[in-house]
Amino acid sequence: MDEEMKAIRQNKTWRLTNRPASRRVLKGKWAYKIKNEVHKNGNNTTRHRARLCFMGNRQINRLDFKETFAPAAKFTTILCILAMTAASGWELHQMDVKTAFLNGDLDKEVSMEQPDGYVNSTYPDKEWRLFQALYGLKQAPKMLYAKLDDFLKSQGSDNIDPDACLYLLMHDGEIIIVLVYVDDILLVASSLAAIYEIKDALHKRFEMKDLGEAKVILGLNIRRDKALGTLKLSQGKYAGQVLEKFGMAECNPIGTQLEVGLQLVKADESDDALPYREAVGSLMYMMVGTRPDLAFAIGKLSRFVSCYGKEHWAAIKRVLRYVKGSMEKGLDFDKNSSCVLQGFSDADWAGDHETQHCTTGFTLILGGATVSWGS
Amino acid sequence: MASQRLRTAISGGPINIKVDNSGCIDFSKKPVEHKRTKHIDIRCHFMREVITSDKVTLEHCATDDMMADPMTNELGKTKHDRHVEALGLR
Repeated sequence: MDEEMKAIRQNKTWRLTNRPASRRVLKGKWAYKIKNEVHKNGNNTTRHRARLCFMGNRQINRLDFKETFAPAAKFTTILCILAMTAASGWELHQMDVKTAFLNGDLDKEVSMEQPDGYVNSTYPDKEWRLFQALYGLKQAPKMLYAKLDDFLKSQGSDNIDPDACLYLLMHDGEIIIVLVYVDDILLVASSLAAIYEIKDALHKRFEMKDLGEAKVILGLNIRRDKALGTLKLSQGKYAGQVLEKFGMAECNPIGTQLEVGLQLVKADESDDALPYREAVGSLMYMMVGTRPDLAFAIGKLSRFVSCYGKEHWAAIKRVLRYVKGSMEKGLDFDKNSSCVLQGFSDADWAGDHETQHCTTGFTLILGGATVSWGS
Repeated sequence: MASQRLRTAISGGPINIKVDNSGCIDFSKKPVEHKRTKHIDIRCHFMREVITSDKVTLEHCATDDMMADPMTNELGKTKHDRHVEALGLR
């Protein structure tokens, strides 16, 4: 708790003020979490972390906040950057903003009661006037993004129009790419010196944690072989967790996702005992991340999330068996593959016999693996 | 400026899309009326625009080489394995 308070004090988050008559004063709450940390020497330690949270659930739209939208990088952007990284042999590093949301500047007056355990003994009736965002505040992610955006632009970087989270810096002929995913920052540069330069600049401005070469981003495992020029992304661990969750950890693997020519019809009533929606949702994240091969099966099965029965459940179990057989499969970018974007587009003619609807599918391939797909 | 450089670094020209429907390619080049041309979506006009302005080119490919096939069909084992490999999943 003291550590968190220290971070909050360092950021000059609040000032003790008199309770205003007109403004709403909301509460804060402590949230505790036990974090497992794996150290470089292989030791496991647990750390108890306390976090002071603002009770954003009591905030009222238009009264306490206006806009809350904060952009996050798209998977396609991340994959394209990784493909280019593999193709050009660039450096790929990762950083993390410590106590990220405490960095956001508030543009509106926000007041909070003094948190439990840290009530000022001389002025117990006064309240905190916040200057910086706290966790739990509805507008916190937006404020953090605005601050990072400001900083990166002040460094002379160019925001690229297709994705608001992608920044590009040209410096002495070196390319530096910065990708922001809320508080996770992916740095790509043509040389190590350039990486250190941008890291230094970030360290000076924010309290950052340097994670070195990127290994995991958004639950995607990055395995890189610089000598061979390959970069592989996989979600094996997540796949294992999904199988475990649906009791399919010990199932027999199978080679394909769906039966050939499978026609499913809507069930009259959903069988609520089956965790069908959960299974579709869990597989969806895999599909979006690294598994274009699941796109069609998941697309087809998710048409029935409101009207599923036993046969739909059997179909998704088959998909889970397929996942079991291909857990470590992932996108494999290769230096030797062509770095020209190649698209493919296909449609089936009224493939859904019930509604006569067509399914369109597309993939875009860059550097030996798919970077964008849809079904 | 920098984004332009990044874009040319990726593709260096129009993006090539492979399609296994030659009727569709012909229609994109020359939209002729036929008794079977109906239900033309607004997206078709978008495609025609990007094709005439050389941002995208269409090219025919055999259905067997169609890498988007696993996105529209449930495939048998042999075809499935080949396509999955081609998608870059290893």
